[in-house]
Amino acid sequence: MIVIPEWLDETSKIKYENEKSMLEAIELYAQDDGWKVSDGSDLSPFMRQRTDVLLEDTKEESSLRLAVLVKSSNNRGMIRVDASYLLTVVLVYQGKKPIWRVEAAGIRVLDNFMMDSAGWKWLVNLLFQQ
Amino acid sequence: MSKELIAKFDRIHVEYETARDLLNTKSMEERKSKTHQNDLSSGRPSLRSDIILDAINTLNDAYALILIATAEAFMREYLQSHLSVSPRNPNLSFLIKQYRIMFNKTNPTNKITTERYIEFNELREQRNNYAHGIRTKVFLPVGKIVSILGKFFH
Repeated sequence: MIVIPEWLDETSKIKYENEKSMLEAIELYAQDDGWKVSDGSDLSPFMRQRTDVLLEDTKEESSLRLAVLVKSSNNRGMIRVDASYLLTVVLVYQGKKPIWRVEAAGIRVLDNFMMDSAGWKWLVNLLFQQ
Repeated sequence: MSKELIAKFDRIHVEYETARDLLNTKSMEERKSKTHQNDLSSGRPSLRSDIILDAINTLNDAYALILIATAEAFMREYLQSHLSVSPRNPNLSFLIKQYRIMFNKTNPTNKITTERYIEFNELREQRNNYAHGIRTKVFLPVGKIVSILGKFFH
């Protein structure tokens, strides 16, 4: 199951193709890793309106909430990732180079983030290291 | 003048982080104290810890709004003292655009670039979306907002 929020296709001038591709990749690798993917409809209304995609690791009782940020330019893009252990990172699309950067509290953590199997494991480790 | 503004952003940021850390600590305590109970029942977090998580998110929203409002007030004051005629209630879009034009006219060594302008406008869109959007209502983390505003008003 791949969840792509409908609102990403509801704007005519601004395209969210990069964000959609990244969401899809994250969801695929999460599912391969045994995580459950949903649109977060089981969350409280308060959390639901802050969530586009919910990833849950039922074994570890961990979850990740993904939310696409509104933008004003096609060559940009940001996805907020909130972990159930209260850490937050932002994936920032670099328009001039088609790559994603990972930031925490406005500080660069990784400049060239690739969402593949290793990238998924790196992200989970970053967000859930205690 | 913008040094004072950036100091104000930093102060707001520290205040936010202090409040967030207090809530985080409370949330961790709740998790620990409810672990046994959760294992025995549904495995879901307690209502109280849900409320604390909601409060952490609200905190981010509240401080994001305070930061944007602080920047808005600064630009309104700046433009009132630099424009001979200005609208009575200029909206944020107007303020960001005019502030950039007026500031860059002073030939500063650190002009406000298009990238900085776009970043600020995205914060404006997040604010507008929060009030009446049909999309996901979410702000960037406060630390990132402070960074964006700091670069715009550097």
